[in-house]
Parts: sequence; structure tokens; C-alpha cells
Amino acid sequence: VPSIHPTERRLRLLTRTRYLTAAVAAAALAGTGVLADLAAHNSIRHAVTKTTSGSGSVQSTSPTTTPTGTTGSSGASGTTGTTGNSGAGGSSSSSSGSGASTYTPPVQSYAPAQVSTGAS
Amino acid sequence: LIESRPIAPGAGMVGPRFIRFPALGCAAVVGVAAAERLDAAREAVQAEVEACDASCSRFREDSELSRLNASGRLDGASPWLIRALTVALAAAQATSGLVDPTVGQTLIDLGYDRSFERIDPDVPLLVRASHVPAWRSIRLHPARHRVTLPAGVRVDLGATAKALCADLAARRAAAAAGTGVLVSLGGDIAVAGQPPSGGWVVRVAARADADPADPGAGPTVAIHAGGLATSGTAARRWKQAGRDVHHLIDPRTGQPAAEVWRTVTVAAPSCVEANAASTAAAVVGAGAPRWLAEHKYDARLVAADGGVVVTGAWPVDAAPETVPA
Repeated sequence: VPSIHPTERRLRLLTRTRYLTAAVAAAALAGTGVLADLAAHNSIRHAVTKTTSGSGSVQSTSPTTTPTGTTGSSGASGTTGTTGNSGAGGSSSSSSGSGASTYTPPVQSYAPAQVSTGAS
Repeated sequence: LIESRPIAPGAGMVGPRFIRFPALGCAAVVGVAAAERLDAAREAVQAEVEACDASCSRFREDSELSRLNASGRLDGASPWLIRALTVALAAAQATSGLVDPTVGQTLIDLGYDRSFERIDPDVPLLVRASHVPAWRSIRLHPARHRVTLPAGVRVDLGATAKALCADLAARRAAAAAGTGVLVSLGGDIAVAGQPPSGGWVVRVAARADADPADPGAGPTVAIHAGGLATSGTAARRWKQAGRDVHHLIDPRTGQPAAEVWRTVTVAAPSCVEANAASTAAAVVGAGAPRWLAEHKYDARLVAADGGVVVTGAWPVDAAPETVPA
């Protein structure tokens, strides 16, 4: 049985759902040093490509995936909250003290807008 | 899944209050659900913006990123830079390299070696049809606060750092102000805390500097959590050696991405995720709707000819299906 590189194993767990995305990966990997050897591990690309095309639903199954814990920029890089979601397929829920809530899709609105999104 | 909520004009404006100020080379907008908390929120956002700028600006000689790009190595990197690089690498992973932070040298070659408003179109500039070096060449050692780059590699964090800053600033401001907060940094939008009744109303336009009150600028949507970001070629365009170029680099070619889409707007659980996805989709070209659908993103794409495509649960435009060129 071919061995799986520890980094790849971790990424596979993280990417079992679609949540190997920037915020989650940052929360899970920051400060762990796991990224340090990504560059040397040439099978990562395959693993990520394979696993990020999997299942998952934005609307109903994604508790907010923002990193929990400290929100300030001055914190140590490894303090972005729990990283224990890897074994649960990335199904962590937010415990942000700032009141972050579950993601819901945008809805059509006819109220006056005060801000625009667009290319910048 | 798609809910249409007509709201009488003005009804959504009972509580929220907004302030606009320049930041990170663009316009920042901070909104609060409880008007009296605006100052606290603004201060928190400005603190986060300053930390981001000091760490990640490519146009400040004293920034950490500039020092890293100049020497190829940075010891004692700040937590902000480490985090920004981590996020950038994660975005590269998640997009299979479509969003690559090592496009820095390519942007420099194309003349984008200074803040955008200072680009000189008359200066003959180097054109190199070179492939972007892979993001895997970045060596990041968070525990040692050390970053190293191979010779010739320059990092640009434009695709993720501003969005990360919006996410962090929104959460920091919501915690400081004790109310729901919206932060927009050049159209990269993050919200945190309890939103106002009806959600945060955002105009989806070609450019972030469009007047949000102008109905002709695009449709409006309401978001309650997460982030919203738009990537496109309608802004940050310039002339280089007699041709039009823009800032969205396709790492597969080392050239500005083909202009299949005028804009790609994505909603996601965080602004940084939305921005990574919208940038990847804009780069991937004709296959963008499929890419976004496969990755379960709610998105709105405007093609070069004005045609509108939506994916996931993004609401279909109530008004015209095409956007005037």
C-alpha cells in the first residue's frame, strides 16, 4: 500500500468537502508549519484537484467557514482558532465572537444600495 | 432557494450608516447596522487596513512584501504577512494554481510596478512572454516567521490580501462596535455580526467605484453573511507597448487573461474565498460557469458582449438579461 505523505493526508481530510478554500485552509494550516513543505511535495496538486471537485452545498451545509478566534491583526499567526475540523470533513462551525452567522446566498433586493461591488 | 424580496425604497435604510475613505489604493466603505457605532467600527477597520498595508503593499518600499521581493528572504515576518501568504497559498491550492501569488514579476514586466495611478504608458516597457513561476516555489515557515523566494520570483498578493483584510476588518469592527458591520475595500465586501433588517444591500456593477445609487449600474442584491467580490477587466487597465493590458494575469500563460468576462461576481462564506473564486473564474475563461458550478459557488458573470450568466443560487436579474456594452 503506497504511503501517503502526512501533508497530503491532511489536505485530503480538509478537502473532503469543498472547504479547502482560503479562509478555512488558513485557519487550519496557519502556524502549523504544514505549508512549509508543500512546495517540495509534488503530489499535492493532484490531491487538491481531485478533492476540491467533490460535494458540498453552499446553501445548506456550510456553517460559516470563516476562521474562528482572534480577529485582530496583531495576534500570532497560529491563533486563528480551532484546527480540529480536519477529521470531521471540514464541518466546523463558527464560534466567532463577532456574531458571524451561517452563509446564505444573496437575494434580489430593491432597496437603495450604499455600496457597490465591481472590478477595482 | 431564490427569494425575491421587494423592499420599498428607503425601507432598508432605517438603521445602517456608512462612511467612505481612501484605503489600499482604492475606496473603503464601512457600514454599521447601528448608526451610533460607526466611529468604533471605522477605527477598527482603519487599524486592520494599516496592518495590511504595512505588510502586503507592493508599492511601499518599507512594506514587508517589498523587502521580501527585493531580497528573496524575510526573517521576522509579521503575523499579518504570514497569514496573508498562507491564505494566498491556500487560494492557489484551491484553484489549482489559477490564482497564483507569484505573478508579481509578470505585473512588473507589464509596467504595473508602481501604484496604479502612477503607471506611465509612455515609458517603453519590457515584454516577456514568460510563464509565471509556480506558487509552490514559495517557502513559508510560519513557526520561524521566515519566507524565502527563489531568484527572480516576485510575490503579488492583490488577489487575496485586500479581501483578507476586508474579512478581518469586518470581524474586528463588529466585535469592537458590537453591531453588524460591512466593510468594502475596492468592492471586496465582507460582512460580520448581525446584519440590518433586509440584509446589506449591494449594487453589482462593472466597477467598484460605480455610484451605488445608480440603478443603471447593475442589479442589487442583499447579503446577510460572508463576502462578495468581483473580478474583472473593467478596472486597472493600461497601455503597454501600444496594447491594452490589465491586471488579471493568467498563470498558465504569463499574460493578461483573455477577456471572456467583463466581470465575475461571487458570493461565498468569506470575502477572500469569494475573491479567489472570482479571480479564478475570470482567468479560466470560457469554462468559468462550469468551474463555478462545480465548486458550488453562487455567482454572476457578465460576458464581454454583455450577456449575463448566473450559477448556484445567485438570483436572476430582474431587469435586462444583457448589460449594455
